[in-house]
Amino acid sequence: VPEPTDEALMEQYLKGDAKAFEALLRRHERAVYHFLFRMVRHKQTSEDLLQDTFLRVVHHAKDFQGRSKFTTWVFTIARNLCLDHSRRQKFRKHASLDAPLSDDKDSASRVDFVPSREASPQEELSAKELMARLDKAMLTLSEDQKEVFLLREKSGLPFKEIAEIVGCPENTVKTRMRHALEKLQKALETEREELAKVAG
Amino acid sequence: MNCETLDNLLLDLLYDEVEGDDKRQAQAHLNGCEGCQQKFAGMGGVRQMFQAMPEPELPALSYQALLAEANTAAKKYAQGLASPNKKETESFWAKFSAGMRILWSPPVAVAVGVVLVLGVSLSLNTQHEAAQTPVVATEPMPASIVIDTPTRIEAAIAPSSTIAPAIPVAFSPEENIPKIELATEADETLAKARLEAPRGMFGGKLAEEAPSNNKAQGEGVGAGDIDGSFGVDSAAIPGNASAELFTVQTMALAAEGKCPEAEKTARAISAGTASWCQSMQASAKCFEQSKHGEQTKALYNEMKSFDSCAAEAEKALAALNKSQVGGTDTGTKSTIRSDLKKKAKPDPAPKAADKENVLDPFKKNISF
Repeated sequence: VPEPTDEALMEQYLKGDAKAFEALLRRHERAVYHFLFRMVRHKQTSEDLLQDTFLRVVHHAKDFQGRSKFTTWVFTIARNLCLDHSRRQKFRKHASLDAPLSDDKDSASRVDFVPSREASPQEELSAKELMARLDKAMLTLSEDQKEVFLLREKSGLPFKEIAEIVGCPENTVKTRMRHALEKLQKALETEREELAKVAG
Repeated sequence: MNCETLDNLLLDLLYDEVEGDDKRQAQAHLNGCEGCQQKFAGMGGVRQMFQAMPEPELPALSYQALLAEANTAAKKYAQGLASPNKKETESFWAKFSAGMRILWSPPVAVAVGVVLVLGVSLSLNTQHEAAQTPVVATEPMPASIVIDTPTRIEAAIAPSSTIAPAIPVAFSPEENIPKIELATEADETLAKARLEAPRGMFGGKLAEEAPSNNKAQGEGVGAGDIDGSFGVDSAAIPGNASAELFTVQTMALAAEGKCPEAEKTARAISAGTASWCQSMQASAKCFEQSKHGEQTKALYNEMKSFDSCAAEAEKALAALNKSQVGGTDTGTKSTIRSDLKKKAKPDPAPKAADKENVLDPFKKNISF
């Protein structure tokens, strides 16, 4: 039996089937959480935003007309919550927003990124190093570039859908993505060169 | 295909979003062009690295409250009722035109006409008298006149001095649903809150992350600033809906006499926020009811250190001392219940200032 589509589940939910909502939640919680986490870079806040995102799905289920995909809709909600959050952060003058992750005591610890399976110390170290490098590179991206990059790369959404989510033409999305990839490439190269200098 | 055309398609090629002839031609060009190959490989390398980027484990979240909410809403949807936020999403113009329709109904129109006529004649009369009054109008109003109207003064002060519930995150004004939801579904929310574990649905770290004093928060500085972390005032920032639920939950626990649990839940809210004050007060009252005087005082004393609830705490402490001296303890439980009711069913006609705060969370929780 094929799995019901998201849209079919929404329809069932609107007919009163609360289980359909739970199925949607379980299906998308991970992707939405990862997106939120990468955007806000704070574990507890991402958890709260995840709950808020789905709370809004509950309250606005009637507004979902099925004209766009469910994923588009749910990521739009998540993204808007992120925007609200970062706006508040800006008001609160969080200088640490752009600070490297390593200085950030309450941000996700490196351990959070290490897969839960038993990893050898060396594996753990390389996972941490990789994480640190990529995270540092991510800091070079603007918010616009970051969200497009994450939606494409981590959430696996096509450019057309991302354009709907961020509310701009597909070509703009592609330009942002292109710039993001180029910046990341450059940042990673620079770091590699620095590491090479230190090593020898 | 030349390099420029391929460059335009590079991203589509990278993410396999190009098909048919375009794809074949692009691949053919790529195979023969070293420059384009380098570009493609460079971007592909970045992609590979990020694909290998370890993702954080999804924490085991409790969705109890969320699922209970979903259940309630599902029932409504099944009955064909509008979405829970329907009332809030009703546009300004819809409200305005409804108001105008009422205004222009014959009895109201007659009444308005009479009031207008009386008003104009009174105004003319006053102007006539004022013209005859010696020049004292610029003098300050005698103090007695101000003191004469305490009720009005209280009413004017009330909106800013009462502890208003925390405001949910503004997705857009009509997104402030959780508050409305609580208002219209007090019983369901209460039942739901009772189901919740004290830790609540948003994890148990909030208390640790709360700002150490209210002043810091008032200046727009959260705990995150102190230790250099990101947004940590979770109950006050994105999870105001969660602060709301925590408050209701605390009150439900307090009403049931589960004071330690109520206190624990209250502590999950960012200290010093309106919701926190309200929840701590409910917990304190619970302890007071169960004759735990020391704990009651401790909570009130803690509240005293925050500007937002210092007044309430002092008042409560004074009352507590008085009752201890007099040996009376008047219906705390009923007060909690009435608090809960108040929380669940706010004034149907909120004062302008309160309404404004509901629509603009920045005004209530964040100073800048």
